[in-house]
Amino acid sequence: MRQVWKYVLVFGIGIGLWGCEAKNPSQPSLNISKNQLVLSKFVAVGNSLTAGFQSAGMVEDFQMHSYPYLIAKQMGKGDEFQQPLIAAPGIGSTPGKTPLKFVNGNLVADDLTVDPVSLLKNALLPRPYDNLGVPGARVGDVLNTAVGSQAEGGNNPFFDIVLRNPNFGNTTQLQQAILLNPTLIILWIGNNDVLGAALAGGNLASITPQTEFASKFDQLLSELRSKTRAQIVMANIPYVTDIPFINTLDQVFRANPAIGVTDSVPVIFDQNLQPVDFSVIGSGGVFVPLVTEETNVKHLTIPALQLYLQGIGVPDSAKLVEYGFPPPIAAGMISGMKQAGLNPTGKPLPGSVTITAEEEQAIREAVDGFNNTLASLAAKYKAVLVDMNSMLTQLNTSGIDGYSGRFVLLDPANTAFSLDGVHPNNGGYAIVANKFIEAINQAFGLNIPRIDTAQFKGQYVPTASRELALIAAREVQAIFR
Amino acid sequence: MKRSAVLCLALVLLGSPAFAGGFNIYEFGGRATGMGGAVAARPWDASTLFYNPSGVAFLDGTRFYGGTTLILPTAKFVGAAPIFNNTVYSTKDAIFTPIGIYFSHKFSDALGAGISVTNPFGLGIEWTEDFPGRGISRNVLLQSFYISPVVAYKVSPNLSLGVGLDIVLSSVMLERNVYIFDSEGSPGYEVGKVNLEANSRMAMGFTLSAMYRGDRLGLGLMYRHKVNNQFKDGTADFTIFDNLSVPNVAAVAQNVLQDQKASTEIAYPNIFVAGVYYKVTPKFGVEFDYLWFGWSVFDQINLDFENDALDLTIDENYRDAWQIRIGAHYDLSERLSLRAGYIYDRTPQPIESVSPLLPDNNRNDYSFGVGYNFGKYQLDLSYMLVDAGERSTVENGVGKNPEGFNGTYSSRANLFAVSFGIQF
Repeated sequence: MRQVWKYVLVFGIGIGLWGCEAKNPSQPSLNISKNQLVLSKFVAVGNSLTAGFQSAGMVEDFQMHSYPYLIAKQMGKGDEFQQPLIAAPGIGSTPGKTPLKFVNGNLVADDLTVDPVSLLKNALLPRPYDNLGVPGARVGDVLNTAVGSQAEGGNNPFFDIVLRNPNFGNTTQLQQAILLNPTLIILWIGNNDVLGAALAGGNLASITPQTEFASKFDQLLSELRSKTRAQIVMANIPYVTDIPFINTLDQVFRANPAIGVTDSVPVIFDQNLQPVDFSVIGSGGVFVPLVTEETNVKHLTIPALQLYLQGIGVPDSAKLVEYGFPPPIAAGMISGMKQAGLNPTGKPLPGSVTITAEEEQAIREAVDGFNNTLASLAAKYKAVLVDMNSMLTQLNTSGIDGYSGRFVLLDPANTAFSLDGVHPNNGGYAIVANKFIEAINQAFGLNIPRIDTAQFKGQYVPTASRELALIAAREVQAIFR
Repeated sequence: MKRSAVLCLALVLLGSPAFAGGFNIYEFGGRATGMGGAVAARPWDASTLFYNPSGVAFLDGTRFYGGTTLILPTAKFVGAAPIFNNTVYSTKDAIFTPIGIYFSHKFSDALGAGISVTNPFGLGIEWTEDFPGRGISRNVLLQSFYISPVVAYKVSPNLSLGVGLDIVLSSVMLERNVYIFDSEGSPGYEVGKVNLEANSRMAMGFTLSAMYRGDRLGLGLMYRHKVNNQFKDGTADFTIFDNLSVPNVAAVAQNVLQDQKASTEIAYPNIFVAGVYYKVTPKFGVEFDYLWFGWSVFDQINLDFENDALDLTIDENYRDAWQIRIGAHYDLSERLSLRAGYIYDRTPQPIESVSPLLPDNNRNDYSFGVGYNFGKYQLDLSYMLVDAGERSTVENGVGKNPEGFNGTYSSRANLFAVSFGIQF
C-alpha cells in the first residue's frame, strides 16, 4: 500500500516538474526588413516648405504637392498621410487674400471673403496631422508655440489651423509629433530664423542668434530622441538670398564707366526687366543708376518693382546732373523716361527693398552658422542630414531635371519656384522630395522610387507676350510663411 | 479533519481560468480529471451531475461529492522579428480554483435528482506590466457559475434519461492599456489604462442526457445548451498615467476617457458529448468520449461604452471544435484505484484571433490520478498536464494578427484536482 503511494507521489512530482512551465517560444520572423519598419509611421515637422506652401498661400492643390505628401505617396502611404487640407480658394499669407494666381502673364491675388479657419477640410481628424508643417514657424516655435498668438514672428493663424488647440491640450508641433508615435520624422526647420532678414531687405536684427538657434535645436532633437522611437531625417538651410524674390532683379545691375561708376549697381530698366541703354550713338552702354538709400547694394527685392513703378529710385534731373550728365542731356533723359511711363522722383529706394553686400554677407554667414550647427547636431543625435543648401545652388547653376531657379516671370516653363519667388512650385517640391527620398534610401537601405519630376512641368502656362506687367508684381507680398 | 479544512479553504477560493479549448473548463472532479474527463458513459460518483446528468438515476442513496481543481497556468510570448527583439514575456503566476460541488439523492429505484455548482467557462490571463500587447489585453478574468438542478429517470433498468437546468451567472474583468491618436502604422500614444468589470444578468440553459449502464458496457450522450450572457451596466474605470512625456495631453485624455458604464455579451457554446465505456476485466476499464463544441457562437466581442466613440468590436470568429478524451482505470484493490487519461483538444480559434486576450492552440493533455475509499468516504486526487505547445500568428513570414501584434505564444498548465465524496 505505502509503496504504491510512494510511486504515485514520485511520478506525480516528476511530471509536475517536467510540465511546470510553458517553454520559451522560438521567435518568428516577418517578411520585412528592419529598415522597412522605419517607414511604418511617417511624420513631417517644419515650416511653410513642409506645409507645401506655394505662391504666397495654402490650398489643397498645393498641399497635395507638398514634399512630405509626395514622399508618403512614393512609400505607398499616400492615403494614410493626413494633412490640414485647405479648401479652395485657399488662404494667402496676406490677410484677406487668396494665394497668387498666374493669369495671362499676371500675378493676381483675389480677396478672401470667408473665415480662413472655415476652409480647413478635415478639421475633425481625431488625431494630430501627419504633416505638422506650419507656415512661418521658427525653431523656437516648434518647441514652444501651441496657438497663433504665441508665435515668435507675431500672431500667425496657421498655428491654429494646423495644431487645432486647445483641442489637443495646447500642444506644440514637437509634442503633436510625439503623440503620433512615429517611426520616421522629417524635421526641416530653421529657414525662417534667417529668411525674414533677407525678405526685409537685410534686416539683420531679425536673425535668430547662433547660440539660441543651437540650444533650441539641440533641445528639439533631444526631445525627439528621448520621447519617440523615430529615425530622424533633417535638412539644412539654403542660402536665403539665392531665391527669385531676392535675385530676379540682379539682371538690372550694370557698371557705368561712362560716369565713373565701376561697381555693378541697379540701373533704369524697362518692362522686360532689361537695363535701358541711354547711349544715343554707337554701342556706348550708358546706364543710369537708380537712387538707393543704402550704398553697395547687391540685390533689389521683388517689392522694389512696385516702388520703382511709383518712381521711387528713379533719378530726377538734379540727380542726373549729380551723376555727371550735362543738364541738357539730363533733361532729354528725363523726358524719355516719362515717355516710357516712369516717374522720375529722385527719391531713394529704401533699405527695406535693397540688400547690400555687407547684409548679404551677414545673412550667408548666419546660414553657414546654422548649417554647421545642424551638421554637428545631426552627428550628435545620429540623424540623417540632407544638403538642401547645395541643392539650391545646383538648381541656380546647372538646373535640376530641366528646372531652373529663375522667377516665373522670366522662365515660366521651367521654373522650380512658385509665384511668390520664395517657395518651390509643384516641380520644385518634387525635386526636394527626391532629395529626401535619396537620403532615406541611402541611410536605411531602401528602394523608395524617385518621383518623375517631368510630370509637374507646365504648371504655369507661358504667355505669348513677354511683356512684363509690373503692376502684377505689386501682389508679390511673399512673406515667408 | 485537517484535510477537510484544507478543502473548505479551497472551496472559498473561487475562480476559473481557461483550460480546455477556447475558454471551456471540464475538470470538475478528482476522479474524472484523472481519467482525462472521459466519464460521460459511467456514473462513478455524483460528478455525473456535470458529466452526464442522466447518470444520477443510477446512484444509490444520498451523496455529496465536491472539490476543486488547482490550475496553475503559464503562458509566454515572444514578438515577431524585426518588430520585436527576442525578449520572452511571461504571464504572472496565478492559481485558479474552479469548483465542482454535487449533491444527489435517489427518490425511488427509477428516479434520481441532484444539484451541482460548477464553473465550466472561464479565462484568466495576466501579463506583466511591460508586456508589449498590453494595449490589447493586460489582464483578463472571466468566471462563470452554473447552478444546475437535474432530474433523471430510468426508463428501463439499464437506460436513464435526464434533464437539467443551468442557471448561469458570470463575471468578466478586462484591463488593458489605452492609447490615443492611433493611426495606420502606429499604436498612438499610451496615456493610461482602463479596467472593465461587469456581472452578467442571470441566464438560463439546459441539459438533456441519456445513459446506458450495462454490466460491462456503458454508453452516454449529453447535450448542454448554449447560454448567452448579457453583461449590462458594467463599469469602465479609466486611469491616466502620471509623468506622461507630453504632460498637457493628460487633460485631453481625461476628458475623452471618463469613467462610465459599459456593456457586453459573451456566449457559451452548445456542447455535445458521446461516450463509450467498456470494462475489459473486472479491475480494468476504459472509456472513449467524443465532444463537440458549437464555438461558432463566439464570433465577436462587442464592448459597448456610454461614449459611443469608445465602442470596440473584437472579431473572434471561432469555429466549431471537437475533442477526444480517453480514460482508463485500474483497481488495485477494493479501496485503491489508479487512473490515467489523454485528451486531444482541437482549438476553435482561428489564427487571426490569437491574441494576448486568449492565445489558444490545439492541446494535448495527460492525466493520472488515484482514488481511495474509506467505506462511506471517497478521496480522489489527480494531476493533469495541459500542453498547448507553441502557436504563432506568423505564417510564412506574414503576420496574421489584424492589429499587427504578431509573435509566438506557448502555454502549459498544471492541474491538481482533489475531490471528496460521502455516501450518506
